[in-house]
Amino acid sequence: MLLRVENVTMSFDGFIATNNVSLNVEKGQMACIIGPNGAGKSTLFNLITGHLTPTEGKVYFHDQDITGQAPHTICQLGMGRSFQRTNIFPRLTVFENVQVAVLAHTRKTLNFLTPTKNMVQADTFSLLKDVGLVDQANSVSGTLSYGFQKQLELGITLASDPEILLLDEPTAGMSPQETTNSIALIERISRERGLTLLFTEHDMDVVFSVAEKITVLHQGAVLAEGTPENVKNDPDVQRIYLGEAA
Amino acid sequence: MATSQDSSQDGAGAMSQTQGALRDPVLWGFLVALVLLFWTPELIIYMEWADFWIIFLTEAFIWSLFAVAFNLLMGYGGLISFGQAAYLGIGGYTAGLLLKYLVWMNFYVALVAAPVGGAIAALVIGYFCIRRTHIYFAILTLAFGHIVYLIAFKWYDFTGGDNGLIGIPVPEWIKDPTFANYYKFVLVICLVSIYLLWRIVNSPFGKTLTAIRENEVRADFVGIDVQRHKLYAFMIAGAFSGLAGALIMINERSVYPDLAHWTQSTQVLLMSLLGGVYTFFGPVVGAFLLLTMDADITQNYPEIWQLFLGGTLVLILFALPGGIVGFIQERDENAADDMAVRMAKLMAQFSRKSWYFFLGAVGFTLFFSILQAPDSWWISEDWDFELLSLITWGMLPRSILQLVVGVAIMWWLLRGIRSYQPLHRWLLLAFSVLSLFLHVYLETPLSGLLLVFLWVVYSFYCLFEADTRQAFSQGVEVTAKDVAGEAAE
Repeated sequence: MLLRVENVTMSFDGFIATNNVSLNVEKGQMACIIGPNGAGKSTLFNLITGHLTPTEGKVYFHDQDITGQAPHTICQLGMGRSFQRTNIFPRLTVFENVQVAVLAHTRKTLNFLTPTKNMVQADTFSLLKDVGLVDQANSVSGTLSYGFQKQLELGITLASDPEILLLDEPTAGMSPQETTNSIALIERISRERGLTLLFTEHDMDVVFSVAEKITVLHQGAVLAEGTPENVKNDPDVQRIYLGEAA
Repeated sequence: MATSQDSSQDGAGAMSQTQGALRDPVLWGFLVALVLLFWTPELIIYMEWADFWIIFLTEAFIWSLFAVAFNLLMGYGGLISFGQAAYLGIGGYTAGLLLKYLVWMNFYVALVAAPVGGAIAALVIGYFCIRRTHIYFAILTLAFGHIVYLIAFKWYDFTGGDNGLIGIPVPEWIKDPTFANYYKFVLVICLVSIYLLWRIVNSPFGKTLTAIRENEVRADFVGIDVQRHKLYAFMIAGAFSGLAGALIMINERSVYPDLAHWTQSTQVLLMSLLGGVYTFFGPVVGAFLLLTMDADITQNYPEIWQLFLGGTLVLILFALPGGIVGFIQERDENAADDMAVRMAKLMAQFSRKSWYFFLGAVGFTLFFSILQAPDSWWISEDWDFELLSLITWGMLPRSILQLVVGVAIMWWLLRGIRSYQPLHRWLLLAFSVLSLFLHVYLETPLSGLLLVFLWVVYSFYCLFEADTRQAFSQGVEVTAKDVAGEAAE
């Protein structure tokens, strides 16, 4: 088991954001978390990646307890994360964005005197090529279009050579065309690199076409879990989730 | 496991590094600057105010070092420290106390102790400060800075309190009457230190620091230990600030608590803002500009210095939010632009910025003329008017002449520049140097002179770039291509 979340509860001053959530992700699996707004998806992601420390419960990665570790430590262990709102380094160029991430991964950031310009160039360009941003390499990343920025964020995340990729709403705010491209990109990369994927998504077409296993969160708790077929036919899910959409 | 691979990579890196160092234009720039500036005292020794100039340059270089060190935090790390003067003070007092109380203390050892003291103080203070961000960080640095100031101010037995430490022994060679020896000493130390800081901001560490400034959360999630990097940045800034403090102490052979006062911190903040926060050399320009304005105004009107400073700052923040160097470096670029569009944009910007510089220099000159000789509006006071000696003209005739002649020449030259006339390019380069000499000849106040100087540097930089050279050697063909390209679309 690559990632194991055990009975995690998070309360913010009495408000329970996630309630006794357990979740397992196997190596190579494409797992998806769905749920209505406010179901605790982002909180769960923050708990797994170390941004928040759970009030109760444990998170294991490779059977190693990572509960309450700092995000940069967890990242170094091989967990990559992208954010719901694009999260890049806006005033750096596209190249520098990825380069910094590669430098951080290869632990070269405490080198004080070597000019960075020509460092880790090959690695950076191969990542840019993977996410299709070679032509934009010298543009200031903040001026890119939204779709490109999302691609760049994926590039930054991949730079730390993760085993598992946690994507928080990778297609939020995208046009149908951008969504299709973006999902194709993510699928291709995770297949090529043998990545495990854990993502949240609101677009049901995307969810049912990509996910191998779906976990439904509702009001902070796990409502249903299983293959796409099982979840689709689960009466509770239909009542709460699909009913709400109708 | 990966050690052998790492070390072999590092070995290759070191080799390419030494080869790359010779091709590094910035290193050559520093060496040329060092050589040129090193002999300045010999060049100006026969001038009327030679020692004033040498002392002025000494102080300007020390403050440049301090400002660049400060900007490592503010511009590159996004950490706005309001208490940077604390390290100036700690450096000054560390070296000062060592030299004063330990008779056997070697001068150079004391000088090395200053940055070490600054770094240790920054380690302790920074340990607490970097745990908070934004305004809380700023207030914490201010508070710690004030604690340092109060220790220096109140601890009479040790620091001498507000009497300061006076009569600090320094080697004989520093005490030469022309001040040239110390100037050269400071010049070498400051240029080497600034070059080191240049290497640091361009190293992986510097890039990481910029990434942290841009997005702390994201930096954390790519595996960067944010706090540790911030702390190291704090220590580096503290060390170089401490060195600057020791240099100031040696210059004055005494050290007072004022060195650590928060007004010094705001001074260095202003220098960075004036010159340009997101540029490396901006703080150097800012330091020189602030000190030249200081020298211009305090000669005659010390009481309005603060008022003038505030006014200039408001003007800069509104008109040039990126500071002066930021304004010079600003480019309107789009990855999709082809060569013709890029050149057209570049030349239009060059033209616009040249007008800014021209008006700025005229305005500064007029303003300082009013300050220095308020009575000579029309003609100079003692009516020794000579047609060929512009200095005997009053302010208004001189400024009108400056404007009329300047606008006519600039308009004609810039029009030629925009249509890629190679002749105009050379004329403009010659004209910019000529106007510099004219300003020197007219004894324009320093700040006006500095602006003209910056314009000269900018012109040469802009008009000598490879792309620009190519465009001018092709003459009007670039514009023809531009039109053809538009027609094709």
